Amino acid sequence: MGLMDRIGARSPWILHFDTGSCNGCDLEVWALLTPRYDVERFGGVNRANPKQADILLITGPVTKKCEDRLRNLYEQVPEPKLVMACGNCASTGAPFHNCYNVCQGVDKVIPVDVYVPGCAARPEALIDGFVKALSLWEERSKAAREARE
Amino acid sequence: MSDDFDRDAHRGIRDMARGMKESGARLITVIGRDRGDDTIELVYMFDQGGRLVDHRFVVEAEQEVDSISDLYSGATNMERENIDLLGMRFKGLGPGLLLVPGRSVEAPLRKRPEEGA
Amino acid sequence: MSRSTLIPFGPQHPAFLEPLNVSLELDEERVASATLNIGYNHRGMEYALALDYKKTQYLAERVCGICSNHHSAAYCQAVEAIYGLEVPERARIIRTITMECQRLTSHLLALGHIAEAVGYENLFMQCFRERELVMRLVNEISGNRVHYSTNIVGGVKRDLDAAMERRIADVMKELRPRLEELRGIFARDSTLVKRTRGIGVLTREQARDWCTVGPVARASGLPQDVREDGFAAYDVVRVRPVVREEGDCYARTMVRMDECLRSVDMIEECLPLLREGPVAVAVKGHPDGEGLGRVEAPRGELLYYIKGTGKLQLDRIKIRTPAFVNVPPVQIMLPGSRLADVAVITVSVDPCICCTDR
Repeated sequence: MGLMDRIGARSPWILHFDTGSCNGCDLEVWALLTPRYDVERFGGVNRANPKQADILLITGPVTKKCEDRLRNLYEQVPEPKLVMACGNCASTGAPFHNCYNVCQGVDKVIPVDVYVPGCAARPEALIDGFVKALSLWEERSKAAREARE
Repeated sequence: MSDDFDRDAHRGIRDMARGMKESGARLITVIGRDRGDDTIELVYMFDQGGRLVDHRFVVEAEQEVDSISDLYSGATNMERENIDLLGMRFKGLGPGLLLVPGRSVEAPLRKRPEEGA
Repeated sequence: MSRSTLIPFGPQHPAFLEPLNVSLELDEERVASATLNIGYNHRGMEYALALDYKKTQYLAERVCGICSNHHSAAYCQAVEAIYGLEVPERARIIRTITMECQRLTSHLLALGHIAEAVGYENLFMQCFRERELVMRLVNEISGNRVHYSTNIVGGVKRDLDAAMERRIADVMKELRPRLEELRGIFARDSTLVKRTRGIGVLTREQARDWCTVGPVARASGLPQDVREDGFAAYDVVRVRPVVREEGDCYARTMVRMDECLRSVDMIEECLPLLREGPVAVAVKGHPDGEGLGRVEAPRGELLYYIKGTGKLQLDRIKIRTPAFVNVPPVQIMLPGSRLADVAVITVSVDPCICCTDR
């Protein structure tokens, strides 16, 4: 990492949004932010504000009522942004497959970069997904900086 | 449509609820169940000092039913849920509690003919 | 009189874990009226659960991840009522232990959530640290952290061995002083007390009128606890409901805090009762008839109504979740309070939107 990269580097902030999950993954996302798993050591802080967020952690299969809200949130997040689908239902809608009020996964509504499997996704899996998202996000921020120069 | 029920019985819902309220019972829930012949069975379930008490009424699906939401404020959402999920009608209450009108399927818990009764 | 302002609170809001919208009409700083909008989490579980009853006991846990074990226990009790099954005693005690463990995780989450809403980040982290002890214990008991999948119709799937019983006792011994420390903070910390005492009062009459259950009802002076009915093993362990009279956010928080300690008592009381024996009985045939299952979930009474017609598909399954009746009263708690207290009041009823909307 060069000097300019170091100066330009910053911590990716997290926006967590539940789009109709059973709360199982949400709890694990919260466990992720708390002492035992602590993703703050990678710089991830939950800001719950789309305008300041870099990485979106989305849980849930996206219900019809949440669909527009999710799209709205996604559009408010500044580039470069990353979406992480946490859990089976966010990835494919699995446990709620063919339920009448769900969109069967986050990627049916907004583009997803990292999928984390599990019902509920275990914190270890979420950390793994988060680290993957982190390197992807750094690549993209670097590409964006280079494009500006 | 079967005829094995009293068509006017539902007029007694409010009297029943008033009696239960005076006895200090707590309303647990209002269960709607499609009987498969365009009639719906409403089960009003109460907790009377730890004992479960239920009152059952059969109504036609299109029938407007008296609301008990002025007797029990908590009944409002229970009745609205039945409006959304079973396409029922309750006096003075509207749809849109759980479903998004126009986007979600209508009355998802009603039995469709192809599924069989 | 100044002009009122309309503010949408949620569905995405830092204070909420889940999508919930409160439409606030503000007169300066004061809330004039509040309307609650739910339905963001409605997936159609009652439809999906009725499709194939053999899968229902696992899908029922996916209704809610915070009280998943209570959902499957209530479902199993309802189906057992249809079959007329007598569940072995050992299975009933194991169910009680897992249910109380889940109550601990759920209440510690609720307490952490209220600390977060008050702005006490440190205490939130501390609650989650203690919670992780129970989460790891449950992981050892069942192999899962969130959806335990231990309950099956007729008993439980996994037995506890002697080493596991000792482990549970050890964790409870470790947890008790930590909970007592937390209780001291919640009861006496001046910031917390100022932010919660006298805020969001729900009187006893209002609590009855809105049909509230669980800690919300008990904090308003209504002594209701389904555990006193003696389902699972609650007929052999001592259930002492925590009841307070104030009806404010402080009372609701303290009811949950004291219930955590009572849960530890109950788990410790359950362990010596475990006798050798079977943990499940076999079931035959499809359920035919009506059954009710009622358990005391962390948020209050949870009721399953099941009607089967002797087929794989159930005729109707209805879930009355505690949050469904506990969340709407925020509409009457909010008017008159300050905007800054809205998050605290809403969080104090422990809103579980996935339960509310299903």
